[in-house]
Amino acid sequence: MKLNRRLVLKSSAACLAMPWFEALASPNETLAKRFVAFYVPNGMHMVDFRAKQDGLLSEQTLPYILSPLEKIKNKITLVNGLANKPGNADGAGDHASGTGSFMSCVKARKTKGDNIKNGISIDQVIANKLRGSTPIHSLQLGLEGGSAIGDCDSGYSCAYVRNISWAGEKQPLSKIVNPRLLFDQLFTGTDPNETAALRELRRIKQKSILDYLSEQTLALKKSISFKDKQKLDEYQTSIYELEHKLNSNVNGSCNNIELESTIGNLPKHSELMNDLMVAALQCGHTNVISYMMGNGGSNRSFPFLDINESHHNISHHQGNKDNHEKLKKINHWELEQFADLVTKLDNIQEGEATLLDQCCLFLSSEVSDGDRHNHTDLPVIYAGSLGGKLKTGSAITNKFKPISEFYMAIANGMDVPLENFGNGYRASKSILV
Amino acid sequence: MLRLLTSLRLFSSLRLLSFSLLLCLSFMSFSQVIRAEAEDLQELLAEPTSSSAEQLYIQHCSDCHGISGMGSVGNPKVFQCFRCVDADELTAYIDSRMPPQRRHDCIGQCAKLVSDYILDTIGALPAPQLIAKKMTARRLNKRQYKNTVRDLVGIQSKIADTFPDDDFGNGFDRMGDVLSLSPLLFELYLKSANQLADTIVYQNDINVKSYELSAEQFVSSDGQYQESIFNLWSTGSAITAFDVQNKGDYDFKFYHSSHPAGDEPAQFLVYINDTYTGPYQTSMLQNDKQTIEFSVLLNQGLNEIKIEFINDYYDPETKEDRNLLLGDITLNGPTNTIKHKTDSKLLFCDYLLDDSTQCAEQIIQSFAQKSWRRELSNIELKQLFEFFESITSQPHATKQYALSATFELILSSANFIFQIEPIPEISSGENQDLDDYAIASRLSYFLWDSMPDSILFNLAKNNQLLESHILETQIIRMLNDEKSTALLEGFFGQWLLLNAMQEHSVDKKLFPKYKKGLAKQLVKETQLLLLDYIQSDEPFKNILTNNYTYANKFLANFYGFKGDFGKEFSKVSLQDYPNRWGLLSQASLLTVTSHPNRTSVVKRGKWVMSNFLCQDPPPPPPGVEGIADAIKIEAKTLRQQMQIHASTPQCQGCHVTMDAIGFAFEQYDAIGQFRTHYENEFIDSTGSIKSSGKNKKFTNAQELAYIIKDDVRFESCVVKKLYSYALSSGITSNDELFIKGIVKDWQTTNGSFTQLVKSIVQSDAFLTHSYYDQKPKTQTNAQH
Repeated sequence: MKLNRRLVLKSSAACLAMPWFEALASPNETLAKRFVAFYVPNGMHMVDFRAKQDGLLSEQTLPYILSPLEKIKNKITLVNGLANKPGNADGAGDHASGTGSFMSCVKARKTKGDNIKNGISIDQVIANKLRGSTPIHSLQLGLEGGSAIGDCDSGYSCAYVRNISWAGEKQPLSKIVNPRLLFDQLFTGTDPNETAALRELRRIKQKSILDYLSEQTLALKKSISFKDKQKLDEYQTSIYELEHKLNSNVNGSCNNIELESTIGNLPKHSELMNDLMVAALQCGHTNVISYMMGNGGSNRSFPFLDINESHHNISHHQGNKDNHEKLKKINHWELEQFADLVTKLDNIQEGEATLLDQCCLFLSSEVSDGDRHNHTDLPVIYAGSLGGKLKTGSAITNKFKPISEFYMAIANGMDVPLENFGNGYRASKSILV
Repeated sequence: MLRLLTSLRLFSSLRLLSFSLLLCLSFMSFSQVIRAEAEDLQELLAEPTSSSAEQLYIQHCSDCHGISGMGSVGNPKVFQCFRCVDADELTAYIDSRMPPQRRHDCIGQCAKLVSDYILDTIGALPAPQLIAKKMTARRLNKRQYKNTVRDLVGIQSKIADTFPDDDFGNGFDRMGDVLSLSPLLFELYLKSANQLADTIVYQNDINVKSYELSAEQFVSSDGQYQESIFNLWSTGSAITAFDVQNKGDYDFKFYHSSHPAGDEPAQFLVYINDTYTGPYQTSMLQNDKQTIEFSVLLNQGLNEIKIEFINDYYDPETKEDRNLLLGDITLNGPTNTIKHKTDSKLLFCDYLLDDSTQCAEQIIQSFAQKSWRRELSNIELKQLFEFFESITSQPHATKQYALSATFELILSSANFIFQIEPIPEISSGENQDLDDYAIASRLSYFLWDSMPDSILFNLAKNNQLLESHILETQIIRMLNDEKSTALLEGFFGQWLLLNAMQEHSVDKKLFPKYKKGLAKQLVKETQLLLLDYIQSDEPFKNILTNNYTYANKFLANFYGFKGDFGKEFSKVSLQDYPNRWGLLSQASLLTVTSHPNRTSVVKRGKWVMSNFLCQDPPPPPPGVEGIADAIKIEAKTLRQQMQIHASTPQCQGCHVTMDAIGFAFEQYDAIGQFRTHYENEFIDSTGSIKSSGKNKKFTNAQELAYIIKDDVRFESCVVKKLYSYALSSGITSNDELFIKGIVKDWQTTNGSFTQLVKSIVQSDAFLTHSYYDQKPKTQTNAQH
């Protein structure tokens, strides 16, 4: 990919220069709350992830993998012992089933491709309730795109391994991994040389096109099969989302971001995605983000950490010390990335507090131990308190409690109370203030 | 009849649900069969009489399947003999699964006898009716979108490169059920439509120009021009400048090579008018000419290009010296104008001069037909015209603006983005002919991953597509068209896992011969061979024992071929290199089925079983990890390890075959280089597998290839893979019936790939569809 610095600067300038954005911007009465799901693949080396004991973090040093968060530990919580039972695969395929049900907490149907079925994911439940409050309903991001072949995981379709956000049972939401694309998605405005008259004409044209497509789709749906209608439902929802985005007050860029080439440079790629996420949250483009550091069962290697084997292979450590060391290194790096994002959010003042205080960023993986593929004792931490609604600064244990109830508590904190979700029927009280 | 069909449908859906269960059970069945057969060997030696087999069938099977195999009253399970291709498979199935939900009481010899009886007697009965399925609407995948845009508008879509990657199902990225549409992708479709429409309307008359900048024109104080190459010998840069006639996006292509030295390739940055991209890496092969290509925005007038060499290397002791060699630069553009050849002009009359809207309407109609790959209804046309009018009537809107807006609309429509087939008129589940347009699209997306061209479109328009020989002639024409190379990446690349080469990593410390740039060449070798088989009359199965290949000087060096080779690929006889005979001995496939640092007997064995015999070994049973560890401690050699594998009850069912196959390939290391020894231990590549009912021995991969080639499961497996690709779906029990017919049909021909395509396309599965109106109980749409 080629990134032209001047072009980029021009397009962000274009956003800033658009007068109607400011004209339409309304002052926020209450500060918005934000939710970020941060997924890491292949489990965690739990020995160096678990807190030594429950209780205040200020009274203990964080374990090695979490050490990047040491400075900000008063704003995080470690939750030990949570389980995601629906993540258990039918037979083999725990990376796919675990990733599929990561945020849906229902069992993903085992199929290679026909009739895929999962459940709506928690981020989408929250985003649906917040619908209309931001230009973009929700963002799905990641660091690893698809692979070139379709052999995913023991009879599970790749859709389960690559997507943690599901708009519905059959609709995985593909993620953006290309920083340039995300940048355009967020900040690209119009040509600064466009006259007011032409801008108005363009607005009319866009609206007419979307109206027409909407009508046409309705007509088309009369003469097609049930399954095809479901496909066109996805199309119609997309029309609706785009209409909303075009009608919203976009804040343009409120943050200076310089794009640069990240090809073959994972650390840089990760850093840039973090910057873009911060900008998206800060500028009010969206309040809900899901982020995958890798696809389920990722085979990525980490040459910059001097690790040339595939992550997935190493995660089948078979008790081997050498593998443990490598996993520790990878996990530590992953948490550095998380800490970077958290810290950046904490450096932004919003009202009396920081942007981080209005957020909940939660991190976990599709399995706990990469060798055992267990979906119990999951590695779970979160940062931010959702404006004081969630407890922070401690380690707690919720043995065998379903993670769905933890999600319900977060939803509660986002002012989206739920009766039930996935396999959960009550919001976990242990993290709520 | 209707009732029968209903139950059939029920049966197949049950089958689908129990598919995963079946996978687990079939693991057991292999081992059971092996055991049972050993026990029953003596009994088997006595020739059974057909009447005893018949009695066994009546005793064990006829309750449900009927005396004639056609089902029975009250228990209407029509006998669907989709496993009748192979006696072993059928025997194993009966042994482990029949009768369902009861004690499996026909095992061992009984299963064998019954299976023979079914194959000899019942298999010969008229086949039960085959139900062609209704294809789910398929969103164009990335490749299809790009190809369609190329053939429709004539430009290489750049936005499509930024589309999120498509998800896979059944091993292919073209399954309607899996290809979902997100708001993000929709927005990108609209953006792309907008750019394409503008290009068609506004950029139609700018001439594309090509600028050639010879390496001689570089200016630098750190290098010199010699023999058509500019040699940059130390860290520094070379500059060249030139005049451009039209501002716009240009395709930039730059040839470079290097004198490699040290342990990393030469790296450089490319500056275009002060904006740089890179760093780019050269190949680690000496003088290996590579190109980098990207798109740049050039100004009208003077532009400047600078190449900066950033990592010079010189070792005074060994005199190893790394140099960057700059070749010519070509610039082609502007690319945001039409440059590929399309079937016909899109703007074929002058709508600007035309006072009425007649010309514009003709243009719109023609464009919409092409884009939606069918004729439009009058209502649809009227709506498009009205849209055009409504935009024209806006203040400040020109006719050009309105036409561009209409194109944008057409290209954003679900009719363009999806392949949607109209619902069959009768919804009782019977097969009905697809309309010609749908067939034309199925065909062109199957063989070209693109829209039908004007020849196909016109045949469809005149309802001639199904006339005698026309379909056949079209298939041949299409396969011989350059566009059929779409099958290389689409079908073969995914089936053989060849596409995974681009992301496969190899431990370069262990395998210094695996240099950067080699992977591409290895893939090319395989593709060239495949292309021969796509376009010739040679029986497809011969590809497994093929005795020639393609190589250039890098591959000749890699494989150790003697003779003169240039940079271009040429055909090489493998007469003197028997260990390279056949597709399976190509380094590309041997590499992609290895780990970065070592080979894997299991991985290769499983790959051959699943992709060439369609025998997917089920995943290891739970708790197997412990056994694996124990084996590793006990075994001294890999062979011993695998022998323990094969004698452990939990493992043997699958590993007997998988390991035998894998060992045959052990003479090739993790990058496909031939070897006879692990460090100092001799590699034993001999083994045997059960094939077509017999135990067959082999001493190496080539002999194994001959066995696979003659195994009935191989042909049927190729058919299954291509069928699944052609119809963008997985394989249900009903599809197995079609497949059986296609296999038979293919066997009556010369067995070429072309004939296989014909057999698939001419089957009812491809040419018809059916729809059974089942009203869903609840409609779920979580977003509303």
